[in-house]
Amino acid sequence: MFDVKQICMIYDMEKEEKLYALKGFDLQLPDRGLIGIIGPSASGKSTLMYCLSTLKIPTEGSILYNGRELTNCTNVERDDLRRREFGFIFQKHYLVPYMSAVENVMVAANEKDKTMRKKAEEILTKLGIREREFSKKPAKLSGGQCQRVAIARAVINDPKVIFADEPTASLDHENAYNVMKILKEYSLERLVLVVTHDKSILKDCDRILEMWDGEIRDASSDIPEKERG
Amino acid sequence: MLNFAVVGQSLRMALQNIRSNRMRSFLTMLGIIIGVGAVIGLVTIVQAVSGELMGEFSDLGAGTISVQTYASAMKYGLSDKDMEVLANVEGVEGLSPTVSLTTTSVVGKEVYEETNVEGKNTLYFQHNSDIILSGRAFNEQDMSGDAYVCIVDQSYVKHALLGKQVLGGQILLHGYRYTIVGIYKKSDNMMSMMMDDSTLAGTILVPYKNALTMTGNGVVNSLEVYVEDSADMTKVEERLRATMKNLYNENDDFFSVYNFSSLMDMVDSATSMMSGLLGGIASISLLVGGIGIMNMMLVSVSERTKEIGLRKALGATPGRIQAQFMIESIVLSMVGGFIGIVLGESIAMIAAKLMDTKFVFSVGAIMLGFGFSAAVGIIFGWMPAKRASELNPIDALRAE
Ligand SMILES: Nc1ncnc2c1ncn2[C@@H]1O[C@H](COP(=O)(O)OP(=O)(O)O)[C@@H](O)[C@H]1O
Ligand SMILES: [Mg+2]
Repeated sequence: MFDVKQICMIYDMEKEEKLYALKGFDLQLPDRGLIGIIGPSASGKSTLMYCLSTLKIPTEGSILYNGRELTNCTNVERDDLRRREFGFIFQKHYLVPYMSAVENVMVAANEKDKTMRKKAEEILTKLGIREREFSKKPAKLSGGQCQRVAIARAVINDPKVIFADEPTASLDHENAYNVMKILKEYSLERLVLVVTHDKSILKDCDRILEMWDGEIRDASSDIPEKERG
Repeated sequence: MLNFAVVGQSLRMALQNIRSNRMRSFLTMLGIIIGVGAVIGLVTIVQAVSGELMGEFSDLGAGTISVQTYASAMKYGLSDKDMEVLANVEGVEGLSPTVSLTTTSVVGKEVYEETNVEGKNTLYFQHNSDIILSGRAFNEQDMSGDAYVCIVDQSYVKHALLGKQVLGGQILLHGYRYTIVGIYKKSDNMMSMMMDDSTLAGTILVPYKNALTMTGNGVVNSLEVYVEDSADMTKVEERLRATMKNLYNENDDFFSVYNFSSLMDMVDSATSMMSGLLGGIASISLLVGGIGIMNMMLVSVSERTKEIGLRKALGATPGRIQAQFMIESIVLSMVGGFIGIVLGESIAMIAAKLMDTKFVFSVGAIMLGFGFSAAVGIIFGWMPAKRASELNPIDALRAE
């Protein structure tokens, strides 16, 4: 699905000393599966995600998405792609505070009609949000519930790829486990990229990539096969 | 892209957001409320007052030219001969002299010391046919000078003839016995109200020759000139002025010739000047209101940076974000405009009650109020909305 070639990212181009967030590497990603990206803070994990998801344009290199070159897409094409084919989960849920749980899911929905609303409610139910919580504002929901609403928002348009940047970092262990379970299930059909710096939640991953100071290597073998799902 | 559903959703979100910040939204709207309320209220009041004035002027004789003379040692007033000269001026249809005096009237055994008497001719009634409430107007036979008939106003009926037979009744006026042939409606305009004094029993109309006899000097000091074609008003007015000057030996200190339509024009231009001035004041307050809205929208954008970042990350186009904030500012300002309209109309209604004028519900003013508040929303919402739409999604999400 993704074919990345010699990707380079330099923030603050105008500065004397150039800081490489991504140091020029190749990467191929399949059409489906749960891909874990692990690495210490500031190693470039988020930057890689942003580049793949069109939120940032790499300084150099090429990103082919289903044969399409993302680095020279127009802004409109990029917005369109994110809206139709990508789903996002962030470390914080970023729910809109003045909207109810269902409305927050609908924020992402491409169609705002009744069937979509019904679908949003179905997804929330599947994620373990009860009906009486549908109309609650985020402030009245627990952290785990908020993150599940955010997941519902990510999957409402049936995206082909889900980008999850540290989705479990602000959750306790049990909630983190539940989130990973949901993502694992979604990855049976589609591609799910999960960034984390917590190795323990990656045991379900089909593939693990480790980042270090803007470089990447396959670390799947670091975790024994039998420990993984 | 900007379809109906999107606008609908933005509208819903705007209302949600305004509701969740009630106090702040209200304070922001206050500028618009006061601005729009002031325009609507004041404009409606000015229009009502000027309408009232215009009504009075036309009661007093729109379409006629007034000639007034001031008694001097040289000439007491206009004689029959003078009036004939004036009546023959080109474009003049006819004259209606007014001879006024205050005298004593007697009904039965009651004496009314102060009674207004006005002498009128038949032409006057032809041009004011609607003032006769019952009975009849004067006819040509009444004009001979020895027909003792009169027409009383409602005030005289109330003061002197209550419970008595009015039509066909008798009044002793200036020593002569007059028969009442009609009741007429005296126009109750502001001027007559100002001159109203409680000792006055009322006004009685008599044929104008009879009134001339009562005054004893045989001259007329005031008359109305009816014009054949109202389009020639100013030309006829000029001719009359020249004729009068001629009658007064080229001395124009002792008479005046004027017509009410030029007075009405003056009131009209004064009104539009007043409205313009009020509009100017109102646009300043709308400007202040608009700045308030812009400020609130800027605060709102910076408060909701994360929301904007999220929407943009999820693929919302800049246009969509801009539309959302524009709609919000337009809603804010139009809700303010609506409250302002209600406020302004209420002020105008109360003012109409207090000043005893007619309340005119002006659709134009309301449209103006809505138009202005929508324009304020668009103009002052544009910059904050643009700013929101240009935010970088990742930077916005990370902003603290
Ligand atoms: N907007 C930015 N401007 C400048 N430098 C940035 C920006 N975002 C990230 N960086 C830098 O790029 C490097 C990689 O950051 P990031 O991709 O966020 O790492 P990670 O997600 O692995 O913690 C870090 O050194 C970080 O300081
Ligand atoms: Mg990161």
